[in-house]
Amino acid sequence: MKHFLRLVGYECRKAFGNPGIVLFLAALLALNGWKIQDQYHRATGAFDPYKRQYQETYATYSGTITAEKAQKIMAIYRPLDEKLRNMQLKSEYDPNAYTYSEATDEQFFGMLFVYEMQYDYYYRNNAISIVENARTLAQSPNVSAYIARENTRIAWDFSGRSIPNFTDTRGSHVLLNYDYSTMLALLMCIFGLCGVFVREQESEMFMLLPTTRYGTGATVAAKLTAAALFLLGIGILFYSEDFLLIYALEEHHDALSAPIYSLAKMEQTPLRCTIGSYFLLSSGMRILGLMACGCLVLLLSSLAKQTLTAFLTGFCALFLGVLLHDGSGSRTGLKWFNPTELLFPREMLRWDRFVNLFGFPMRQAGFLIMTVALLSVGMLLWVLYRSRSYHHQGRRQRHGRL
Amino acid sequence: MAGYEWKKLLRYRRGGWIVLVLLIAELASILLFTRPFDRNLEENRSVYNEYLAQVEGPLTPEKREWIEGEMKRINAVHSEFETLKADYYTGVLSEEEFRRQYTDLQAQDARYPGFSKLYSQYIFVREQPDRQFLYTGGWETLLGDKSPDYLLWLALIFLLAPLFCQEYDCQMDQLLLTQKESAAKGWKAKLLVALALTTGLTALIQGFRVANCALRFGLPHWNYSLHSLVSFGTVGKSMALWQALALQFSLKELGYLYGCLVILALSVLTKKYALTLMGSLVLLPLPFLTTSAKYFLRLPAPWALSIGTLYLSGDDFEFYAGSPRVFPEVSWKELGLLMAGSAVICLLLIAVLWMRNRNYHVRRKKAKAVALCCLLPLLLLGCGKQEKQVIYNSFDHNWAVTERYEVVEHSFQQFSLYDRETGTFQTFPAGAFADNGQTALGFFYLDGNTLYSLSQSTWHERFYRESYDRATSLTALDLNTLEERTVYEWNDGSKRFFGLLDRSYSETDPTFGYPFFLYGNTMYFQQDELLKTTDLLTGRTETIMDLPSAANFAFDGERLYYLDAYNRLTLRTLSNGSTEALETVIARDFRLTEQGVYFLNIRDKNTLYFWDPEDGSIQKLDDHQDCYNLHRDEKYCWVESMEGLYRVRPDTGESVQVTVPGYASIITSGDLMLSEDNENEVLYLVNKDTLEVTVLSETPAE
Repeated sequence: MKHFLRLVGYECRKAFGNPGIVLFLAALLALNGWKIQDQYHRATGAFDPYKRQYQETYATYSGTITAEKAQKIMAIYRPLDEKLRNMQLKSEYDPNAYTYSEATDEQFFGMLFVYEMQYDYYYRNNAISIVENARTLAQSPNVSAYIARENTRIAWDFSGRSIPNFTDTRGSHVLLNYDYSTMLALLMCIFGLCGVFVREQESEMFMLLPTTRYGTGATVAAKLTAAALFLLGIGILFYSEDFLLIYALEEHHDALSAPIYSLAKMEQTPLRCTIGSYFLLSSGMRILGLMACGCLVLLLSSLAKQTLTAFLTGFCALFLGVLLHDGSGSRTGLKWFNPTELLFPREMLRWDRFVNLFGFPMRQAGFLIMTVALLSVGMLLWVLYRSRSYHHQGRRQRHGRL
Repeated sequence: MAGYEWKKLLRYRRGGWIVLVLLIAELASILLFTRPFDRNLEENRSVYNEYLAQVEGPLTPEKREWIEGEMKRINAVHSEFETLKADYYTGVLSEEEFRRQYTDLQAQDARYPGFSKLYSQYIFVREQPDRQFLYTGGWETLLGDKSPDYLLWLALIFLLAPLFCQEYDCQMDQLLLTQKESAAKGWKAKLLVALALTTGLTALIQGFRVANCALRFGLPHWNYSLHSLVSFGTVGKSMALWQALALQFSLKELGYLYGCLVILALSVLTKKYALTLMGSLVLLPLPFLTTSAKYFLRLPAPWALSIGTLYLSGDDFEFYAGSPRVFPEVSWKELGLLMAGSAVICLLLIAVLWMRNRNYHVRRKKAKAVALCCLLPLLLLGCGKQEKQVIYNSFDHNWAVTERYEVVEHSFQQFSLYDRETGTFQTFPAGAFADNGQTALGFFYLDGNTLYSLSQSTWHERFYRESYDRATSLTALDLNTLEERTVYEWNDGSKRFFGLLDRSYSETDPTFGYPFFLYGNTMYFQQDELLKTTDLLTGRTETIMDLPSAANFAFDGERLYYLDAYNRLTLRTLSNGSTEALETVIARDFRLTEQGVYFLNIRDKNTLYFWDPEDGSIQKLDDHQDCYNLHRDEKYCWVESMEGLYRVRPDTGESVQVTVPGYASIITSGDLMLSEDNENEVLYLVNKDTLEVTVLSETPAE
């Protein structure tokens, strides 16, 4: 075991310890940091001049949505809404307005408070109607057994859902939709992993390695472990940077304990966790996705003879994978073999979709994870096969170098 | 020496294949994805061209008068239509006379859209003296393309990185210094090859673009002023169109050459493949994905230079957090400084190459082909052509009936599936999430036991009022198992490529829905008085013909039935496009059934007639005149005229007046007809045979 750990350490230093990787990592982390704070300011910057008013109003209305809070805010908002519908909102400076003018007041209260409070309040009814629809369908006599089972699952998923508290979800919303760090992490993955096996080929050590004591088995296992650790490290770095930056930019953090379906786009998600645990889950899924893509890159690396080819094919394969993901819509038939699907957990978990497995519904997210994991294991087995030390007797090496 | 470098690049490093793949991909994307600048203009091109031929060139007072006069004349044509039709229907005009004058008027009115394009151009041109009339579609597309060419960047990176890196890789760089000739000439040859390749590829691709615009749209009058184009109307610099094209091309070349030198310098500095590739990827295409290229306008960097048109256009805006950010136009002086700065940096990069000059020596290796794992997308193929008998009438698009089910609408966009066997209602779309933002648009097509419908899901981004996501999808519901699947989706609410590129809204996005039917793998639909098709596999849309929406059109699985300009029933076979017009059936409206066509005969004061397809005969069924609405089911025909609703039995011709409370929606449901009273929200069931009215229920499924 001790030797194995030493091997892992050596592989890590060899593959990932060069200044190039560190330099790129630093550059990409800086780019990522800039981009996410730019996204946050684009999303929330319109109301920056009214920070003080926002703090006051938020202090009054955050927390559990009660009838009196609802009445109080509608008393302020309703006249503004009337004026909006009759096109009578003025946008010149009004000394009686809470923020700058009537128009900005309407946007301030509407966009930041009323719409979301209404959505939170009525979500319980929406969930109940979904459950009833699903139950009616499940019990109706003329549906197939599979549809009945599927709708029973849906009814179970959505039962008892409600959003009792109003929280400031703007930062979480930005973080939910942010995929730029995934792209950078994927780039680092290709860059770091393309050379893992090819290096031995290029320096022609691959013939000598089988003669060593820890030969092919332990070395290959060490390489794979090093690659996994690398990807884990990259994932943790990028996604925690995203989260910490948003955490630092937000003033109120109560959104992290709100249920995940309070975010726009996640109304029909099957998950029931809080927003904070969703971000943990999604980072975990993305790291799994990175590992799956890493398996693909490692496979190509072990098949190639030069770094250039490994990089090129890895890059093109993953690029095509992302394009395929964009174009596949909801068709599971185009998704099951694509390792880049796991890099977009938001798309997987937005809809409560099921896959028909021999008449029983299985969650689409679970199905995709399973198939991609199986494929990745297959790819790793192929890598192990390529690096084996035994060969059939009597079979000449193709390289003709023995 | 340069010759040997070329051979190395193109043959040994498989560069030739990369270049070929690049050119094919570029050509394909230019041919498939170039959208015309103004689609409306393209559709009315012939009329527009005729008018343009009269006024081409600078604006003169005579042309001004002519255009204004023509506008008045065409506006007057509209009112003449109404009087002509009134004359005909009251019998003042004979049919031949009507047809002749109608064709005349229609020919003139058809010129209106084309002329209105010219008129709006006229309003634009008269604002400034140096603007001139010309066909701008080709120039706008050519000069207005502001997106970066990712394919070219990727290809350049993968082609140029090995140029120097290969030597470092096999560690021959030190050894080559001992050669006699290689010291000074080696790196110059490589540099020359790289620059020539970049220049060549950029020129070729730009040539493809120019050729595409010239052949597809036309690039006339390249000596007219740039201000004649709407997108460049208020630009500070004044130049001719060909000068603008030349400027764009030279800026592009400079940008790509700059990028090429960056790649070479990186390869010489880092001496490793992976670092060079990664560095070039991060430096060159990645910034386009991080922010928009407008931010790089004033930097002497390859990013904005490689999109030359950014320097041609005027002030640019971007909305940031609710307020616009202005990017002022780059003046000639600034542009000159920028180009000088870039040239200086390019020379610096060449100096880097010179300082690290190396010679090389290539050993011939037998290179083995590496197996590329290509993930071939498995395309789900749509169903084949339907063999069953299908009857579709476009005016009946918001209901569908089979033996067991029917789709019922109780209020606006609220549908239910009524099961006749059990007598129950079920929400439609038949899914658990029906009420949550997913609405059926009310356009159905029944094909055997599959019900196709257009439905829409909307999500609001809660803190931007103006931005919302909307996905319209064509779903197929299998009525045997009540299983839904999505056949085609327009914009499923997600952005492309890590959320960095926007999906463009498709031009045929059915926001409000339209009547459609499916034939094989294509969807035929009616939009803007035109019949269009969308291929459900590729999404490509084409216009087939004019199809006015004033009357019904029908489909029987093989042929399209519609009323042409003379109100004749015309049958069009969809597989070969041949048409056959029936002179005996001149209808105001018609419905297709399995037995034949029921129609309101214009010649006989809009009374109900029946056309038998077997012998082509027509027979009168009923005497009620001036009917304006027509429905049918298995047993009866229903006509509505000013006097009321009548039920006509087609075989005997007996007709009975029907009085129902509320608004009757007549559905072929065997014995029953549904009528709803919207004010009291009551649904009535009317027995079609006995005409007995019973109260069914309040509107269910709320």
